[in-house]
Amino acid sequence: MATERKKLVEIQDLTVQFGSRRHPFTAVDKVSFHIFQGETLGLVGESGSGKTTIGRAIIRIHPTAGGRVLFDGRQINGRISRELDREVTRRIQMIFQDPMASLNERAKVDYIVSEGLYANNSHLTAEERREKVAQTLLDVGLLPEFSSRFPHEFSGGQCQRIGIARAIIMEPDFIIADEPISALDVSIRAQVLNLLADLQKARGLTYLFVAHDLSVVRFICDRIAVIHKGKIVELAESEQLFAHPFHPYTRALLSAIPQPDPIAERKKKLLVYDPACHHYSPENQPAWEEIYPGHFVLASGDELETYKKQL
Amino acid sequence: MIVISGTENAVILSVQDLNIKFTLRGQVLHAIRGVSLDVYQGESLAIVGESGSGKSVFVKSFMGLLDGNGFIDGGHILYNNMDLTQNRSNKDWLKIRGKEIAMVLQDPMTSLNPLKNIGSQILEAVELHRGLRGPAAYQAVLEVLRDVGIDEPERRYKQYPHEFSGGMRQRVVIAIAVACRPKILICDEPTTALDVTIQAQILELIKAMQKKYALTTIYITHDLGVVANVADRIAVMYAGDIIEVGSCDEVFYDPRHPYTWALLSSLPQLGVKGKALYAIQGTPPNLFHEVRGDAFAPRNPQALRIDFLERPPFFQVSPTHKARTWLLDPRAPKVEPPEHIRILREEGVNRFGN
Repeated sequence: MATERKKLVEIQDLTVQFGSRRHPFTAVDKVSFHIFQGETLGLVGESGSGKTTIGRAIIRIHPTAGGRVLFDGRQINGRISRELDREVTRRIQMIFQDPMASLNERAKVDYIVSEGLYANNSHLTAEERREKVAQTLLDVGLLPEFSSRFPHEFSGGQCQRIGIARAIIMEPDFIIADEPISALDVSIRAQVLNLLADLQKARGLTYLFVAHDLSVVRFICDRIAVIHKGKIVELAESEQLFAHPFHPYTRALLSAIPQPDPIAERKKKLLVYDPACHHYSPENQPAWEEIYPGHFVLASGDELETYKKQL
Repeated sequence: MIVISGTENAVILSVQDLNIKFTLRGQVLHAIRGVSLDVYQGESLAIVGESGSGKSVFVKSFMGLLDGNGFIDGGHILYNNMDLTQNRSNKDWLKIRGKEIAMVLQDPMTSLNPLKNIGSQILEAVELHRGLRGPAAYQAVLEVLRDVGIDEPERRYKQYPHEFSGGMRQRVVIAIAVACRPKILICDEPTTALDVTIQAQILELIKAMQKKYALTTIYITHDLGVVANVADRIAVMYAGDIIEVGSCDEVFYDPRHPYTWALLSSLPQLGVKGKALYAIQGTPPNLFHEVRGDAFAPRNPQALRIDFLERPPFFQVSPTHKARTWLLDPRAPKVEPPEHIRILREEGVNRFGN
């Protein structure tokens, strides 16, 4: 079923390292996955697992230490031509976690939203640019008058809308949303999630949705990748992952989701993930296996056998 | 229909008709508008609301931690035969803070002193509030560190906050709070800054501490998932007023106020994929102006005319459940709650049947 869908982003053995060359710290360790055109892929893990680093490596903020990132069939990591760099800058955009902190507090909304246009489409006249800003603000549910105001005059939800406007004004194909709603209130969360879904429908956007809150990810994502300590341990379609989690880390993560249901909460049993439960040895190394069409898990040979029995 | 967990316990803290105001740029902001609430001995109470609803201000007033421009304008906070609203000086408050009522704040990084090792920060609380000195105080610190699940307390004692992870830091903050042996523990968004897995562990820890030290806990949160796990009773706050109070089951399975309906409906956990999530329209009212009628009415599509005119009183739904909405008046038309809420209610009833 998934074979004829176009892969917009392909990541092959991506490795990102920090620290000095002599003491490297591997934040992302040989990660491979792909994102289909028009889908939302969720990347879930605890803090420090490398989920944000993957997003940042795709958009070329962090240099990669190995592997390839393909966007629309072309490699975009490492050294690339200036034209391709320009194109990638336009076509991949990012939405950040803290809406207040990610907006320049000394610039007006007009400039914040159109900054990318100055950098990229310099052929626009001032009038065209202003029109475009006004239209984009309307698209994200703000009023064009807001363009002469400063970020501090807005609430958290409105600031996040400005952040979204700044991303979509470039008419991107692919948006990396890095915990876009973690800093927002419950009622505002719903508004921003709806906005992201509407924009996706209207513009055919592809999202990489980085989050630690699995309940939100389940609602908005088509497929979910679970990442632990720089390695993706499981990847499947959302409902499939929730129905049949195999990897013990995924199970622990699912067991910890807070449910708005007192009876279920009272019965809840917390699972704790202990990496020692794998009994990996040099002869028994985990590999990235497809256990069910579209459902991948990081498992060694004997683990795969046990997982298959559970299916 | 719904089982009420019996809270026959004594009232430990009683808030009566509390009003709190702030002066800001020559204007007066009415942050808490006549709130009354009883907290029972040994229970865990959750106060839920959006940011700006006044939930933090409300509990900060129990400890005299209002900002300089805030003041209490009428009402009483009765604790242990004292009226805390009469406290004026810091000296009065020092008898309450830490010793009687302690607080765990949201961000463990900012609530710890980065320049002192964690042992001495706990030691400070132990010496001040329990009057222990020397080896006895040191042993007390080690004991409380063990209590909150920190291994090798002797080694950890000498470490600094930056050497701890977020979850461990929050454990240290909890250790400082329980080291004073308070009667009431206030947790202000204790897990918002933490990961889901750590969040669950910290909540378990607070529950264990509550049992061990017979604490009364007050949680402040906007996350209804957290509430379902920890709370015996829930108070829903909106625009500086408590609009619904009930036991955990009552608020989740039989909510009565339209704001509670809206809050529950907007949870992504209850959303149906592919369909838009229910979102509350508009913004909370500006508390610089006087609020007329039901504060939620302008955002409520089904508001009655009286909602804009007169503030609703509390209507009793059951002995433990009351809500401030005109919908419960016998003269009110029958307004059906949204679909999500009806499903929740049926689920609740079904499972209670089993």
